[in-house]
Amino acid sequence: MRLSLGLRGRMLLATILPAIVVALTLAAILLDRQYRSLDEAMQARVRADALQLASTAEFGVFAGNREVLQALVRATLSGDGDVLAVSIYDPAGVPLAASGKSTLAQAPAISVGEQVFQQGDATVAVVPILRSRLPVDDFYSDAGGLDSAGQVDGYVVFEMSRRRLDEERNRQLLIGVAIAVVGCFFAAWLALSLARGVIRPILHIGDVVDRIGQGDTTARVARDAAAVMPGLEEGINHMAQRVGFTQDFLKQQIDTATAELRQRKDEAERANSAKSRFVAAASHDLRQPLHALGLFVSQLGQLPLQPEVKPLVRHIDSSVQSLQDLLESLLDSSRIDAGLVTAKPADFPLADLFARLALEYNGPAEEKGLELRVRYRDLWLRTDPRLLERILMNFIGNALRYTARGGVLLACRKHGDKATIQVWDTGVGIPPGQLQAIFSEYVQLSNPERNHAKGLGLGLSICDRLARLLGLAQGVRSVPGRGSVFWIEVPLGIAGETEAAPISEVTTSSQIEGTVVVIDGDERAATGMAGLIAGWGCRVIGAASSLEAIARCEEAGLVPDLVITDTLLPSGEDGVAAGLVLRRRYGVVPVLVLSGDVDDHLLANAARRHFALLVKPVRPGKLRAIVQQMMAPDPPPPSES
Amino acid sequence: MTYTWCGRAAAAGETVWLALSDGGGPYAEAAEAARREIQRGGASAEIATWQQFLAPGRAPPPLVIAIGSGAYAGLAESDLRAPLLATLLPRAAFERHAERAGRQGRTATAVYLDQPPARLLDLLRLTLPERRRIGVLYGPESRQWAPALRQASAERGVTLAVAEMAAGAGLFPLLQDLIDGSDMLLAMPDPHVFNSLTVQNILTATYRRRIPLIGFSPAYVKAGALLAVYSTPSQVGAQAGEIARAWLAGRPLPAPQSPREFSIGVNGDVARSLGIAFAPDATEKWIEQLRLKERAP
Repeated sequence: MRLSLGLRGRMLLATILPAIVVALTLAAILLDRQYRSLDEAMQARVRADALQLASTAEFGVFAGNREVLQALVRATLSGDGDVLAVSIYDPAGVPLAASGKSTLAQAPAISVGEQVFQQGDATVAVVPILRSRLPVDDFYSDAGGLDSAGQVDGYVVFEMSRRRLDEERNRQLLIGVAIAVVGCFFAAWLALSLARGVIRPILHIGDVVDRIGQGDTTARVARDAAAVMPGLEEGINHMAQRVGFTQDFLKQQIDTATAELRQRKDEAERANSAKSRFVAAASHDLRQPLHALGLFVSQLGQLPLQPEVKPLVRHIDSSVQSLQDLLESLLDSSRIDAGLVTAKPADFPLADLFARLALEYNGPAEEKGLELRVRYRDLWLRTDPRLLERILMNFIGNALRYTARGGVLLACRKHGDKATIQVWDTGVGIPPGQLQAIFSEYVQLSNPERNHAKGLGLGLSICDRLARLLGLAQGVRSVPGRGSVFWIEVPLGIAGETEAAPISEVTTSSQIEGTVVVIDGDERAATGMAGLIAGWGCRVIGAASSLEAIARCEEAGLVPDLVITDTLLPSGEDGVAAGLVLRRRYGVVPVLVLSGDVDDHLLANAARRHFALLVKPVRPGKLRAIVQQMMAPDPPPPSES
Repeated sequence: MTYTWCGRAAAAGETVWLALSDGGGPYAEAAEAARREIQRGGASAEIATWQQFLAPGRAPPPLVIAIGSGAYAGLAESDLRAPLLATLLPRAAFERHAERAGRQGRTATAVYLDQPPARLLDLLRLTLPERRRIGVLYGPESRQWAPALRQASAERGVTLAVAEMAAGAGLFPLLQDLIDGSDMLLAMPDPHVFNSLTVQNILTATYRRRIPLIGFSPAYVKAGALLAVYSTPSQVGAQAGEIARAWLAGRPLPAPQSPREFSIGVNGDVARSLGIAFAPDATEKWIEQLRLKERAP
């Protein structure tokens, strides 16, 4: 197993370990020596005491005086607290005197001579009592071969307790351990301070390298750290300096390039924005005449015409429709580009949305001989309903445009917390390789001749951009020759109160009765609208302002059943205000505001008063449906958004 | 024991052998003293160890003086046919081999180291006049002195307490009884009783009873005896030399005899310990007085 130790740990190990080993070894050697010398001293002491006793007891043994010997051993025992037992034996091993509690089971053998050994907790010395020898054997007293070898008169057995020795040993052990501990601490402290001196600079250098790595090129190795590794410090500082220089240089270059790019981009954005604003302005200015044109053509179609003129009128009407569609698409696209479109999510019922779409497209589908089927679901969704409606309008418009036979189905499927709205058609379909391309601007698959009746190809591109703006997923599946389905996924909303019942089927053929006040500053539009509405069977009173309208009504002796007003009136009055003036005069009367542009302030204002709002150009079919509905006995307030 | 009492004519140029127990020390000292006496008579003497003299092919000398009991024992056992004069040995050692030395018609005599009992008792009377009970512990070799000592004590009116140690018996009980009834202990040379291993305890025992030990050699004085009377190697050597000179001059060899000249050793420390006061020149005076007494007819 490899221990993973940091630099600090390894340094400490390398320095502390030998020091501790040395300290412990020294302590062990010292202790061992001390123990040995204590043992030797103990043995020497016991032996010396025994020898002294043997010498003292010599005469007593010689004299065979047991009392003297007993007194002697007793005195020896009492004279030293460490002496456990003392005994004196004659050469045959017969005890002559004994005192104390002997640890020996039996008298030791004398034949082996002097001996010192350990017995249990005692050190025992057995020492022979030898006759003292005085040099008196000379020629005056001829020994004549007598054995003059040393004579053993007996022996002394001396037993001394090792308690004090053990205590001393323990004391020495304590001292030894204390010395070892102090030594270890000292060694560790020394090693620590030495290691710190080496580690700190290395760690500091490591820190500096880290900081440089993280981009701080001002980091430098401090001088004191350099004292340990001067070359390294110089190298790192030099490197940091070079990196810093290089980085600054690159930064400057990037800044310059970025500034240039930003300028270009700003220019491009400004140009694009200018273009968008121009398109928006141009489209807005185009609305009014186009709106009037549509109304005129529609009115023309209602007149009894010669048979050869009728197809001509139909063609003109179709062209005007295309023109209106194109204008609307251009307007939407430019508004999105100019960043004027913002998402305002709200909870709303799906049925309302589907009803409005049905109202919008029933007419065009019928005209093309297609069936538009709507499969209602009782669901609430949460997103910006206005923008979602624009997406679905594009899907449906697209489906109608590319479907020659069969029909279009608007359906919704709930799964989890989401609903997928689908627009099925039985049209030409899209080749698999083109499925993504169709969401790009100005792409029309089956319109290489660029027939404007088929639109500009902006529709799906607008859908794509709006869906992204709303954060919704959308897509298409298609089988060429069989048809396509466009879908968009919308989160479910929280159910609230339904403000209006879905718009029921509207019969376009029936006559409408009642009085409609049309307030419009633009003479052509006013005339077109008045003519068209009059054609549906209504009495129309046209005016340029609210006061004029009231005056005309008084003049004709009529009470208006519906007020249709433009937003911007020549008098400076706005459409909502005009509606309010008429309401003040005639009580609660439905008001339909027509606007050239979608203005949030206006929208809110109209909604607060339960005024209906339509954005120009308004298709005659749609206008008729709304007028008919609003003039119904209890009209709901339809709104385009 | 056979002694030849007939002398012989002196022969000039004859060489007497001085055979040493071993070369050097007291033996050489005694031999030198003897040679000086022999040379004064016109004869010569050769000094060597006894083994050297027994080398084969040497003509026998007119007289051999054996110095030390070793030389005497060796020569007594040899086939050397020459009169034998032994010296620097105790009487017991001489008598141990005298029978063998007297065989084969050899004559043998000696100058002992042992002091005559009369001299011993006279000295004790002079030095310790208050102590009249003298204890003597005999052994197998010293018991021969018993009759002479008994007689001498009777003549001098002192009491002799005597004990005799049988071979292998314990020394202390005898000693205990003996010193209980004595004022002093007189040691007579006998290695069975007095030897280097027993002296310490004997001295201790006497000291505990505060009675003095009278020794028979300077070593005893050194070891703790109060005093000792003894003859030095020169003194006995000279006496042997005189006998040889006389024999060479035609006089017969005398019977074995005690030494004529002697010395006295005193241990002043022991005397002080025992509370005995001696005058500084006491030993010279004692020797003088003893000589006077011994020369008196």
